[in-house]
Amino acid sequence: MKLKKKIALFLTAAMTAGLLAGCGDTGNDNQDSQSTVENSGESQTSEADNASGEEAPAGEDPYQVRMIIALPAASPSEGEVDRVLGKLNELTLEKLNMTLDLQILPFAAYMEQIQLELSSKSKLDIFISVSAYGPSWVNAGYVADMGPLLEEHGQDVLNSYASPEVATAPSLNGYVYGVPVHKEISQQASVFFRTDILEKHGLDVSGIKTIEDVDALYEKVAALEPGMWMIAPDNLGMPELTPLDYVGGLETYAILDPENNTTVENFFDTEPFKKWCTYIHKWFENGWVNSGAASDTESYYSYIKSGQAFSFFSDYGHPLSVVDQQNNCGGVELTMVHLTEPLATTATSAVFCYSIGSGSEDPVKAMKMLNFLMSSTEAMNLLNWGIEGEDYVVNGEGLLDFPEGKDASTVGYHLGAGWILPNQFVCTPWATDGADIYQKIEDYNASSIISKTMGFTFEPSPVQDQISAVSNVRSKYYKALITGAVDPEEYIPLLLQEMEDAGSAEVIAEMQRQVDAWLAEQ
Amino acid sequence: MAEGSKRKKKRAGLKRFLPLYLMMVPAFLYLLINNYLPMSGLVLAFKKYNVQDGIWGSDWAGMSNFTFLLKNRELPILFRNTLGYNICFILVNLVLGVTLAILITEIRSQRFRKLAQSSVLFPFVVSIIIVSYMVRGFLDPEAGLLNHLLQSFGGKRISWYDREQYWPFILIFVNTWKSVGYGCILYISAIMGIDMSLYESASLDGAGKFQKIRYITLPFLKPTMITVVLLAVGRIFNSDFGLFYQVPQGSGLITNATQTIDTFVYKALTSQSNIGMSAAASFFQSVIGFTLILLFNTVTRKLSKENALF
Amino acid sequence: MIRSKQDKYFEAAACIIMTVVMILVLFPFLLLFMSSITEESSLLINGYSIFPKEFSLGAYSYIWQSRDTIFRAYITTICITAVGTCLNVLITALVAYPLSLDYLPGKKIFSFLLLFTMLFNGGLVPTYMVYTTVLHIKNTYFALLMPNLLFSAFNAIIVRTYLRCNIPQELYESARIDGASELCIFRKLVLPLGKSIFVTIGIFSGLGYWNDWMNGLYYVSESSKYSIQQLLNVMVKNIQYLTQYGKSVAGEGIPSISLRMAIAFVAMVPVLILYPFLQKYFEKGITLGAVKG
Repeated sequence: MKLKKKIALFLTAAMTAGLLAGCGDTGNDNQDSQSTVENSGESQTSEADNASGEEAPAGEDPYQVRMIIALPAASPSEGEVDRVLGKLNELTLEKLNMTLDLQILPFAAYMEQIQLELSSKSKLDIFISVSAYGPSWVNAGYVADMGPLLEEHGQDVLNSYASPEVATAPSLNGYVYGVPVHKEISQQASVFFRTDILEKHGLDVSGIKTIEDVDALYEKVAALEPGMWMIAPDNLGMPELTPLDYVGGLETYAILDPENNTTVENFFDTEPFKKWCTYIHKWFENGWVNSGAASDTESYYSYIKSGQAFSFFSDYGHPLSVVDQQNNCGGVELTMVHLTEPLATTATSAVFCYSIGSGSEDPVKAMKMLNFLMSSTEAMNLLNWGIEGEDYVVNGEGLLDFPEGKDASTVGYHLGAGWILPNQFVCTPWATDGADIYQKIEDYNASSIISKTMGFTFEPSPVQDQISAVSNVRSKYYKALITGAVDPEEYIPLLLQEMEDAGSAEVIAEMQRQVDAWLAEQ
Repeated sequence: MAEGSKRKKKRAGLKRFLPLYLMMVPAFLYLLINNYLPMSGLVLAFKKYNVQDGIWGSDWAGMSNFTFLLKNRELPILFRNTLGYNICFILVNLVLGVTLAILITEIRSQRFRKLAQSSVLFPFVVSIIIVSYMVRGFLDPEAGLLNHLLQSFGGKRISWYDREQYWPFILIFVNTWKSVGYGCILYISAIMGIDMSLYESASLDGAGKFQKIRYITLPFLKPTMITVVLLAVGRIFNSDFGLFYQVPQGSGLITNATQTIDTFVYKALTSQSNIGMSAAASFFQSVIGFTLILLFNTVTRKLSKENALF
Repeated sequence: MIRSKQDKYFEAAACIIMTVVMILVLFPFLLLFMSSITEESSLLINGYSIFPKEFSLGAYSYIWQSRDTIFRAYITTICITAVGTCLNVLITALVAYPLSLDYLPGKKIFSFLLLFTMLFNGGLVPTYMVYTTVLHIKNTYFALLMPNLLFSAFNAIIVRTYLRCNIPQELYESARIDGASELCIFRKLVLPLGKSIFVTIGIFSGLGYWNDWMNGLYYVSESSKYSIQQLLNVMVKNIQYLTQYGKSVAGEGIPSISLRMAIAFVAMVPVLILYPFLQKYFEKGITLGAVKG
C-alpha cells in the first residue's frame, strides 16, 4: 500500500513538476529569443566580454556542444566514435572547457531527422545544413544568425576563407545561416568505373567524353559480365550532363549554359533532363540497373562495394573525388572520367554549410567550438582520420597513412570525408593524396567556369507555398524518372502538368524577377 | 445552524471523496498533457509558425494556411484515400470476419478450432515494421518472391513499388491480413453465445445449413456487427499511419494511391518547414472527424438507441 | 445433436478453407524466418524463398557480434515496456475505480472529459510541439514512455464498466463501515477482484509499448536510445546502420537482407513465446472493448 501510494504521489509530482518546469521554460525561451532578435549585437557583446574576461572558465561545468553531421555510406560504430571523441574532448576541455557530442546520421534519414530536430527547437548547437534549405529555415526561425557571432567569436572561421564575403555567403537579407564547408566550389559531371573490371577486360576509358560513349562501353561490358548491373543509380540526384545553374539550389529550376545565359527554366522541361531519363530508362529496360533503385533506401555505394554494379555517376570531379568515392565504396578502386568542365554556381559553391540551431542553449559557446574545430589541425585530424598510432601513423614525409597491415576497412575509425567536415584544409594530408592536395583543389577551383549568377541567393518567402507544392510533385516522380524505372515519354508530361498545376510558373517568374533585379545591381 | 450543518456535511463529503479525486489526478493530468494541451495547439493552423517565437508568439496568418491547403491539388486525393481505404477496410473486414467466424465455429475439433482462431489473430500482434519487411520480401523488384514466381512462369518482372494500380489491392490485402482476426474473435464469441437448441429446432423444421446461417446466426451477430462498424466509422478520418507510411516504403510514384491525411501531415512536418500547412490539414482532420462522429451518433441514436456510442 | 449430411460436408469444407487461410496467414512468417537463415548471396541471386538453396547462420552470428547495439535496443524496449505497462495499469485502475462508483459527485463531468479525448484530438503537429517545446522530452526515455501510450481513455472506460458490473458496490460500503480507507479498498478489493481485467489491459498496453516505433520516430534521434522497433525502422531507411564501417568479418560481406530479417525475427520472439499463454486474456480484451461503456 505504502509503495503504491508513493508511486502514485511520485508520478503526480513528477508530472506536475514537468508541466510547470516546461511552462516556465517556454516563457524564458520566448524572452531570450526576443531579446536576441531585438538587440542581438548588444547582448552578445556583453556576454562576450564576460567570456573573454575569463578564458577557459575552469570553475564552470563544461558545456556540452551537440553536433550532428551526415554521411552517405557506413559510419564508424558508436564505440569507435566515442573513443575518438574521448581524445578530442581532452583537447576541447583544456582549451575551451567544453565537450563535443557528435552524432553521425545516414544521409537517407538526415533531412527528415534534422527538420524534426529544428522544428522542435531541440538543443542542437552545430549541424551540417543543406544550403538550399537555408532561406526557408531562416523564415521559420530554425537557425541562429551567425553574423554577429562570427564577428565576435569566429575570427578564425572568417580567416579560413578567401574573404569574409565567401564565409557569410549562405545568408538571407543579411541573416547568416551558415558558413560553407571547406571544399571545392564547383561541380563536374563524372563517371566512376570499377578499375578491376576495366583491367580484367583491358578496356580503355580515356576516350570517353559523353554519355553516348558511356552507353557504348556499357554495351561491351554487359556482354562480358552478364548479370552485373552497369550502373548503380543514385535516387537522390542525377548528374548535370550540361553546364547548368540550379537557381535556389532546389534542383528543380535551372539556368542552362549559365556562363552566357540568365533565363530561369523548369529543369524538367529541358533537353538535358529528358536525355538522362531516356538513357537510364533504356539501361533499365536492358536490365543494367537495379530495378528497385527508385524505392531503394540502401546507398548505391554498397552495390559497388558488393561487386554487383560496375559504375556510377556523380557531380564531383575534383582532385580528391576519387579518394572520397573510394572511401564511400569501402575501398574499391575506381577510375574517374569527366563528362563536363567544372562549373561554379551559388549552389555548388556551398552545397553544405555549418549552422547553429536556434535551439542552442549557448550560441556563443557553439560558435567558439566551431571556431576551434575549423582552425585546429589536431581536432580535424581526429575527426577525419581518428587517433594517431591507432587509426593512422605519420610517415617519413610528414603525411598520414594507415598503420602497418591495416586499411580503411580494418582500422576502427577513418571517416576520410573531409568534404563534409568543417575544415578539411587544416588536416594533415593523407599519403595517397599527396602533400599538395589542397593546392590542387585551389587550382581546380580557379580553373572553373563561373556562372553569371554566382552569388545570387533566392528569397523563397513570396512563393513559399508554391515551392512546397511543387516539391511534393517533384518527390512523386523524381526518383522513378532518374533511376529509369518509368518511361520518360509517358511520365515527363504528367510531371510537367502537375508542376504547372502546383504553381511552378509563379515560382519561375519570381525567380526570374529576383535574378534580373540582382543582375541589375551588379 | 442549518448553514453550519450544511457546511459540515460538505466538509465531510469533501473528506470522504477527496481520496477518490486524488486517485484520478494522474490520469487526468496525463490527459491534460497528452490530449488537452495539444488541442489548444490547433491554433497553429492559424499561425505563421516561427520556432523562435513558439506556438503562441508566432504571427497570426489568418486563413492563409487553409486557402493554400484548399488550393493544393493533393487535398482531394488525401480525402479520397483516407475515406476510401477506411470504407474498404470496414467492409472487407466485416464480410471476411463474419465468414471466418462462421467457418471456425463449424469446426468440431476443439484443437483445430483453437489453432485456427489463434493463427488468424496472430498478425494483429506483430508490429507493422516487421509486416513491411515481409511485404518487401514478396514485392522486392530484384529478390522478391512474386517476381521470381512471375519469371519462373515466363512472365516479366514488375516493379511493384512504382506501379500505382496494384497498391489499393496490396494495402487492402495487408490490412485484412493483419486485422481481420480482431473482428473475427468478436463474432466467434457472439456465435458461441447463441443457444444451440435454436439450430436443433430449425433442423427439425428441415432448415438447411445456409438457411440456419441466414436466419439464426446472422441476426444474432447483427448487434456485434453494428458496434464494430460504428467504432470503425468513428475513426474514419484517421488512417493507420503505420500501414500507409511503412508498407509503401515512401515510394514516390505510388503516392496517389498510398497517401493519406496522416502521412501527408507527417511529410509536411519533416520537409521544407511547412508547419502551418500540416497544422491546417491536422485541423481539418480533427474537426471534420469530430463532426462526423457526432452526426453518426445522432443518426444511430434515432435508429437504435442501444447502439449509440454515447 | 443430430448432424445431417449437409452439416458434415459443411464442416469438411470449413476445415479445408481454414487450413488454406491458416497457410496464407502464417506463410509470411515462415518466409521471414527462412530468409533470415539463408546465405546472403543466395538471397540476392535466387530471391526470397521458403526453401533456401544455401543455409547460413551468418545473420545471427552478426547479431551476436553487434550485440552492444542490438541488445541495448532490446533492453531499452524491455524496460520501457515493463515500466510503461505497470504505470498504465496503475493509472487506469486508479481512475476507473472512483468512476465506477455511482455516487461520486461530478462523475458525469469526469466521464465526459475521458470520452472527449476519444472523439477529438489535436493531431500530430500540435502534440509534437507540446511534447518537444513545452515538456522537452526529445531524446529522453520519457519520449518512449509518455506520448499516447501511458494511458488511454478507452481502457479506462472498459475497466470502469467491468468494475461496475462485476463488483457490487455494497462490498465497498461494508468495507468503509469497517473503517477501511479508499486506498485500502482499492488495494484489498479492487485490485484482487478486478485482476483479470487489469491483466487484460496490461497485455494490450504491453503490446503497444513493445510494437511502438512512432514515438521513436518523432522524438528520438540519438541511436543510444533506440528501441528495437525503431532500430528496425532505421534499418529500412539505411541498411548500413548496422553494417558498421570497418567491422566486416574477416573479408566476408555483411549479410544485409538476411540480417534485417533476423533482427525482425528476434524482435518477434517474445511475442511468439508469450502469445499462446496470453491469448486467452487477449481475446477477452477484444471482446470487452466492443462492449460500450
